[in-house]
Amino acid sequence: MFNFFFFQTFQLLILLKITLLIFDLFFIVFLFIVFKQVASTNSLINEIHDAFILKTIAIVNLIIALSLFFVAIAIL
Amino acid sequence: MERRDKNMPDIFVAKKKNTNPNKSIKQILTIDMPPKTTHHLHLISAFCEYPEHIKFVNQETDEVILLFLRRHFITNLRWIVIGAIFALIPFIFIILANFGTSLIQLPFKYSLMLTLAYYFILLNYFFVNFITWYFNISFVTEKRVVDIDFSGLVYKNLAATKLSLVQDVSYSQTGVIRSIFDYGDVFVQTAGSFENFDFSAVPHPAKVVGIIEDLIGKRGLNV
Repeated sequence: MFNFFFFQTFQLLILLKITLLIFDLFFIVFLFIVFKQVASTNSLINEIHDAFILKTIAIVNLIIALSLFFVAIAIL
Repeated sequence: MERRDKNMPDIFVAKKKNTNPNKSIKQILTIDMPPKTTHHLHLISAFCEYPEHIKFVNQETDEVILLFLRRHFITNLRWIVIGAIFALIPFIFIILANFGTSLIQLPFKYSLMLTLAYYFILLNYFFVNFITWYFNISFVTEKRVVDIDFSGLVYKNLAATKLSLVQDVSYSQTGVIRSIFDYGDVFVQTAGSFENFDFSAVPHPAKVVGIIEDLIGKRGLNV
């Protein structure tokens, strides 16, 4: 006999996975905009002492978002 | 006819002014200027006189930055507190799950991914708010006033005006917190249809106004 409760849970998890992936994709786009803005503003205000730190954080964020996306595809 | 008795004591004797006719206005102004000691900018600097290691686009080679301004760091307290509260929310869910009162029971890998994504978004909330504060900068140079606006990640504006066009400088400091931490809004009014400048929530507004007023005054004498 088909377990309807299992089907409901399975549906919820699939929905959660798709939502997470779409959300992650949008977030990658958003972080790319953040990175572009940080880079362009750094060129507006040159030689700022901490520009390197901010740019690095922006790149690291982008890498984390990408890895979260791939991990979500792989394990969920 | 003026009569002066040498035996009579003087009630008031005006001090002789130490005027040196050889001293030019320029020399007087140079003496009055604050000492040009450069200051190192750190990550959360909001007020810095003669900052070093910083240049802005279109800066002339002989143009010295006199003042570097940002909003007072205390103005960031709002988003820091909001972020900290949101950082505690997953712990509430963990506590509820331990007591068995959680609404939905998710597999561990799903819970882990959701928690990671949540904290990552929160981290970026902090980061975006920080860079919005960080890139909102105002400069006062020997020649002009420069204001760089950066908000909402997509809005960026650089405005500058010559000091000779500045007509009036004023500041407002209202509220208990502003008085305690000594920060306020500085308004730079320019001549005619030129854009007015508004440095919001900058530290030591009276000092900022004083410096700009000095520059305008001295500029007037130099002309």
